[in-house]
Amino acid sequence: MTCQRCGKRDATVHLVEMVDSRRVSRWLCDVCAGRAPENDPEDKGYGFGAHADASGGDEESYSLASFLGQMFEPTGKPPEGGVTTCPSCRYTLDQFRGTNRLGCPRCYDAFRGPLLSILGHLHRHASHLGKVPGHGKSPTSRTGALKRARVALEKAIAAEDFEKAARLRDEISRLEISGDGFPS
Amino acid sequence: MNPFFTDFERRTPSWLNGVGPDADIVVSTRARLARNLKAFPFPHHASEVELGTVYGDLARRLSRMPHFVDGWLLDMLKLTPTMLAALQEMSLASPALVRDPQSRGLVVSPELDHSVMINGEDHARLVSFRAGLDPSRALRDVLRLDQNLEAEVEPAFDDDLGYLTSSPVDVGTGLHVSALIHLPGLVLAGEIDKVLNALRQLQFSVKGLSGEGSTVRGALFRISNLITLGRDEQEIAEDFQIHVGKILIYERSARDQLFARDALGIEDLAHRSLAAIRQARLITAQETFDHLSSIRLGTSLGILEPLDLGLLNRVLMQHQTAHLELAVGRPLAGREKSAARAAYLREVFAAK
Repeated sequence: MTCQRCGKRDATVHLVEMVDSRRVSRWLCDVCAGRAPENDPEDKGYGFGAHADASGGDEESYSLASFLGQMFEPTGKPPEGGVTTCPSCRYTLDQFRGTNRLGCPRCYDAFRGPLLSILGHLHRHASHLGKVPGHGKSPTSRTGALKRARVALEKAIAAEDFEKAARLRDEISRLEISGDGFPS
Repeated sequence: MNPFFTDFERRTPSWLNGVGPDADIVVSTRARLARNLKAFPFPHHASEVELGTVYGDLARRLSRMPHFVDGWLLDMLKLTPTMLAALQEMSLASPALVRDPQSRGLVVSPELDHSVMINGEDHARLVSFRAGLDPSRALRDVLRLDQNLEAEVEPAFDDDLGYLTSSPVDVGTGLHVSALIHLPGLVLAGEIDKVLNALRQLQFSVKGLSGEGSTVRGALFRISNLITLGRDEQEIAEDFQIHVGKILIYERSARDQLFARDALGIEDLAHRSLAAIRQARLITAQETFDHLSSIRLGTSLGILEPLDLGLLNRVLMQHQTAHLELAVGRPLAGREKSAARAAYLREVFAAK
């Protein structure tokens, strides 16, 4: 069987993904499945760059590149109308498509629409959970903390971790109360 | 702070000492956080002046931190190509850090277990290493580094998206946990593809050190989480521990079954490899990775005399070209590399 993505190499990997709650099954070759570099590097002796992969991010970039190919129309226009150049650093959506990188932190505001669907696909979530800047755990804003706690609650319920869910529910009501002018 | 690249090739990172949880199978665990400064474009899109400003500022602040006061600040521009290659062999530098050395640098702790890459893919990539499979400690270490950095500079952060990174694959926590894992049992049993595909479906990146499946070099694999958004740091580390822990169970059972089925075959493999490493006059990196793998397997199954895991880990790093070149003090061409590698291995394994 040939690879269902590139149509060139032999398929060796059976990939099953959930897309919009449908089960999608595809046969891919090593390269398209992100398993093998296009050109196997010769004996350069850098193999033990043990953890360099995630820094280089070849595999991650690959899955992103293939996804971006689906996100954008062949004309290069973003799927949703709106800004195509970051007002802060003049980086363009086309450049993002070419490099898989943003230009500056504000690009995330400028290109938020298209980015949110990309992030949802890449990470299965499009909302941050986890630490926020500052010492220890104090969140930058109460609304951010509330939003994060609500996402965590949904996840805990989905995972049937009811102990955690109960904790989060308490946390959410505490945050909601503190919004009414009562310090938490 | 030591300004120069002194005796680096003779330093052994503490996380290669082979003393850690499941260190017979897992060489090391790394936790890495991607961080950026709020007010500057990401390194690949920044002007020379902006890069210089970020580098100067971060290098100065990081050098003063307790982790690095007695360590090194390495300015990539001042290093030779061989030194840059050696840093990659030690997995201290990423390709993006050495590609264009201008205004790129690295701060490293004395034990080489904490480091920060400046102006690589992101303004700062904070890294901690631990021996064996130890994601929770690696995470704790790197969060401490992060806390120190956040006391000094304001990171690019968005309430919904978390820490903003130059690539969307890192956004959110910016955290990637990875481990270097030795799986010769699964490779020999022909089970490796099945196991690794299962990990990929769980959103982990899995790579052979070079090659894949039965052709993989030295049966060494790097496993890393792909999802950084929508999970908190602890969850990412715990998830990593759980899934890699399962791989270790499969690996141990594959080893036991192989040995039960063909003890003589496995004994032959291990003894041949030890003989080759002790006696070869010319040996390539590929061969060396493979022989070290069989020796490691033979040691863990009790076939060979006990060998220090720390020694085996150190050799994995030091037999590579840039390390050999630094040790002999000059560039090596073609066959000279194989000769130098063989000489180094004979010396290390002579009396072992």
